[in-house]
Amino acid sequence: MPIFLPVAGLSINLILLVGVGALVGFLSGLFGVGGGFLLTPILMMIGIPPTVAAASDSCQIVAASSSGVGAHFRLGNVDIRMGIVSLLGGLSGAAFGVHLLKFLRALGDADLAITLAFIIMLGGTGTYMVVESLRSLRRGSLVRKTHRAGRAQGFMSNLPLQMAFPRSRVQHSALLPFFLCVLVGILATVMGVGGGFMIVPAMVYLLRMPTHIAVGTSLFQILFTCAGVTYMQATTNFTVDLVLALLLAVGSTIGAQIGARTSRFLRGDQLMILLGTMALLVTAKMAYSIIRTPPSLLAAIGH
Amino acid sequence: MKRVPPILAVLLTLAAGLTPLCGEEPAGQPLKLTPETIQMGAFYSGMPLRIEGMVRPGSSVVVVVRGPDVEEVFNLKGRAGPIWINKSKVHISGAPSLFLCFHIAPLKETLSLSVLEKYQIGYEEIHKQMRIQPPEQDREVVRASFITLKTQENVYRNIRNGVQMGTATPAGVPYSVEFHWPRRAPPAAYEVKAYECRDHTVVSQTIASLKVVEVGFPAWMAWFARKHASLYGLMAVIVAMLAGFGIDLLASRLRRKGIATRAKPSPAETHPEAAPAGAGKGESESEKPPRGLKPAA
Repeated sequence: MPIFLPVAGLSINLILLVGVGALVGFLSGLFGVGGGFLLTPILMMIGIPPTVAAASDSCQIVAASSSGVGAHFRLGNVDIRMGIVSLLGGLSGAAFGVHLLKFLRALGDADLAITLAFIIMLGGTGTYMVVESLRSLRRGSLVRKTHRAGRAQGFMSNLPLQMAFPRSRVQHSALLPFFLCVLVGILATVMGVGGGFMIVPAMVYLLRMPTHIAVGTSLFQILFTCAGVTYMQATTNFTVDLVLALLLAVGSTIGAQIGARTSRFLRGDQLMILLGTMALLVTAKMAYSIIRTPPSLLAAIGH
Repeated sequence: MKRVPPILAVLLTLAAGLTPLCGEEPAGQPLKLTPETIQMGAFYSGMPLRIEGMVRPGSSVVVVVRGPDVEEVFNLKGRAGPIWINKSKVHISGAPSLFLCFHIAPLKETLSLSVLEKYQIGYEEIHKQMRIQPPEQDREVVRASFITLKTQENVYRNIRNGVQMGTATPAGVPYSVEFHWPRRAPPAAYEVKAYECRDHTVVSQTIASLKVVEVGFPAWMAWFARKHASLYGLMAVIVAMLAGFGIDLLASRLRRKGIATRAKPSPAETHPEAAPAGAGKGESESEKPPRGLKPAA
């Protein structure tokens, strides 16, 4: 069944859009990632102009993450305090990232830097997640992790602005999640993704938050970041297609519900292995796409 | 300045009026388009288009549908070691947004090269018309890549045997072209030209205009997004949030009523020793609600 997208200015199969949304929403609910790294390329593949795909993607992430946050909130998986500190850090990083991106573009070869950064970050994170989770599954990581955490604890406890995060059952200096998310915000802006892929492992491995709470809190942060991005895209580039976003959202909100429920049936190790494997698959796909000779040397802006 | 004698002026005017297209005979029957206007409504997905006309016996026909010239910006890819990266931006103008060419025999067998050039028929002519900025780019590579890209998008097509000739009548030989209008073609005024060809030249041409317009809800939405961007952006965020929370609320109510399937206990609950990776003390413990906080619903 076809539907006409008014801002994109083309028609597309309605069921295809809802299906794509459902798949990405499922991953969003399961892993706490926005899904931008997957959805934008898929939309471009099915013929949506890149600028409209990226902007409408942000809008649908608002819907999907609202649904995911609601479900995770009821499950007690959202650490609001950590979420607010992360959001402030993420927004500051994003603001700095915009200027960094402008600087990189002025230098030239920014696209190469971005592509390589994407492959290194995503590939590195994915490998680390898979290896670490497999190791802990095999050896029973509780004692070893406690020892390892004990060494880092000394440094972290000496930092100023110590703050308790009761929901996550951790105590850290507020500076730690803030600057962590500044870094993620910078990378996310430069690489053009929401950043959930990096926030969740950072919260789990560096802030030692329980995986399920890291997922819920990450969604909370992504919700507000993407709301801001959607508004800016609509007012500056006029590229938010609300019909497209809502159709994707119908699929993704339902998918996010299923994803959030499914996450309860999986242990943290298993979630991390799955997320890591996905990161590695996307990395492999990206690496292949830049090595193979393209059929046309021209690409629409955004590819 | 000498005045032109009135009789000469009349003759010149008549001559100009009778020869609208140099070297061609007067056009035959006008082109008939069905439909004449394509309306892009909420459930638009392209639509069948029929072009009909009449030529004299012994003539061949070439039908060209052309979109307005637009300027587009592309990334031009280049090699950096083993990888392909976006090396620079290329502005391309002077090429039509859509080019569909229907003919019976190969174009070069139907018309001479000079005639193809004169009427700008075929990809080679688009190559010549195309303007590329910055000019120092490898023009041939850019042109070939442009045609490849447009062909992939289905907005540039060269269709042999695309014209059906009917049975000759005293009025002439009817012909028709039937195809599905590409759904990716944007709203614009398109030009449809039918060239009557004989002895490698164009003996007459007929022109019709095809309008593709947005109507109804999509038209209103596109207008709202452009004219009231701030309000539209705010609305997009609020609607998306409401949709997300609304579906979440609906799902939780359905679950409560027992419509949704019952959730099985998680492995972490059934096997507390199988704690997930993460915080130091393991999540089987950390998943419990912290002291002082209400347990999750």
